[in-house]
Amino acid sequence: MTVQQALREYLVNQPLKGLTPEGFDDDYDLIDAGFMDSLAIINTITYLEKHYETPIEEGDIVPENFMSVNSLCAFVTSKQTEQISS
Amino acid sequence: MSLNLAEVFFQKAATQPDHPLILGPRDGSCISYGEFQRGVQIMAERLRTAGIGKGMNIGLHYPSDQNYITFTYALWVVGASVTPIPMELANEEKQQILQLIAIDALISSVRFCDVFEPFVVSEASELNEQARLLKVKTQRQAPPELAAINPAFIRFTSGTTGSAKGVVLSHETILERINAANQGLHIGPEDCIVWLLSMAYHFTVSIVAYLSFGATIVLPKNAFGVSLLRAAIDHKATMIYGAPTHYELMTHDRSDKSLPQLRFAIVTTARLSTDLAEAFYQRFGLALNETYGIIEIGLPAINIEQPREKQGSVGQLLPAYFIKLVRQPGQNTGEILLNGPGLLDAYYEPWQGREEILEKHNGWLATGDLAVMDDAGFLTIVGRSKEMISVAGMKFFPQEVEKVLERHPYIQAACVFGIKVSRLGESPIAHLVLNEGCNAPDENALNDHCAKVLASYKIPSQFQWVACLARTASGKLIRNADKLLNTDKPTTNVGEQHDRTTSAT
Repeated sequence: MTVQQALREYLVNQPLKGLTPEGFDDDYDLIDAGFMDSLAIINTITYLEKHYETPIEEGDIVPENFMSVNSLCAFVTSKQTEQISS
Repeated sequence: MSLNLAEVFFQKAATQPDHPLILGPRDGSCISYGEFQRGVQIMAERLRTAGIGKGMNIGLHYPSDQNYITFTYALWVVGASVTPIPMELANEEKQQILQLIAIDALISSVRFCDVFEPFVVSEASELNEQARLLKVKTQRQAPPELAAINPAFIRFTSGTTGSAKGVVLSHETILERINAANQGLHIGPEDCIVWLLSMAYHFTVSIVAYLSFGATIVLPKNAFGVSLLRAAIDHKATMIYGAPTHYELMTHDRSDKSLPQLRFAIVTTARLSTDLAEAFYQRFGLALNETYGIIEIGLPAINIEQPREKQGSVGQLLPAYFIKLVRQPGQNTGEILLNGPGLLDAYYEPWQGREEILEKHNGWLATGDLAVMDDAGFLTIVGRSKEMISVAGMKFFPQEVEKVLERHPYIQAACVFGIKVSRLGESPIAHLVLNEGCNAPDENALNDHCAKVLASYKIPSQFQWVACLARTASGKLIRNADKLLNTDKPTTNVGEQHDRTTSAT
């Protein structure tokens, strides 16, 4: 399963409960649509740390990284690259 | 004529029509008291035209924004009461509310009207671009005693046995509550309050108080720490009203921005950890004000006087309230019994009026919370006799999750309890006993089973198989996390650990 697919699966089971996977595209603005409340932010951090074994730093918790499936995906990829190079 | 909280707001609006009522969430967005009042009146007219009127109870299924406040006040204008249907709940939980509380119609976010399809009896009418009014077939009769009350809210609550009871709050009760709370908070037109919570759970001793006392509400763009802080700074906030999670997100900010105008940073919904209180203080030089709030009575205690010196305490009781701690001989800890203004009017199902509720404890409300009180009257909550779990401020009883787990054909028995975790405050864990001859379902299967009927925050973060559940000598389940997680009973942990702070066997 690609990062994109895994993230979509997580999102429809958690913050986007009530939406179907077909109901939004990878650029769908999760914040603007009201899905990224404080609980969803914390749950998403926990999910990313658990599944990608990458610690999320305080400075990472900004809207730009959590806005959509695509931005979450780019964030995960950059964290993984960061980890490999360190 | 009966009191109506919408009238209380209209009177305030008449004295300060140009005063800002809501700032944000969009940059530069500002609604004045006068504009908001007109919006409420227009919406009330729309509702009246659609047949909504006195004595009806309307379910409100909508996100926490300006429209939520408009709908609530418009429903009060036409004489209806409101039952909040939280957006966070699973579909089955939302439908359960309609079965347990008599609801004549619903106002729903247009995106999620489908949930109520089995109940809808006529075509949806448009209230605005994002909201629809759905007439539904009432699933039950309202209790006859309700007619004698002037209900503003009929709030669904789950009980310890997983069965619902519902709390009825009249307009008069809510006004008493906000007046009592304001003896400590002193909210007035000079106040600007950053709002961060779900309006389905928090509305009475907050939003209603702000509108009644002429304050301004700031709605941040989103829940990220940087946005919360920006909203507070840009609008010179005097108060923030949030859960520990929000303050945690704010402490992540590494700029040198400060909050010089802030009078209170109110923490509600969950216990504040010492680490977070200290981190917030180190970052902003401000102590968080812990509170004690319960649906049955409102906000009887706030740590206003010594939030830094007595961190961990919910403060002294506000002047209008009376407390009795029922202690066992030789113990400092006791169960909190309360009395004062704004006590609930009734439990809805089974119906119990205020007098009947108080009669059981000689005129006191038994809260089920355990506390100690120091010589200066500062109260510290040390436990809940009701075993409620609070995940990032979202509260629920373990029994309702156990009931769902025990519906799984392979599960013989379940015990759910909360453990302390760093970010969410608490996280639910399930101990499960497998039915004989069955293979243990994996974590994904258990997650899917729960996700069908439970809100996501109620789904256990770990499922552990045990040979038997820990019980007291009288057979009651033990839900003490410390004892359970240190048990040497044989266990199989099918779930990975969600949080680094847990130490499951």
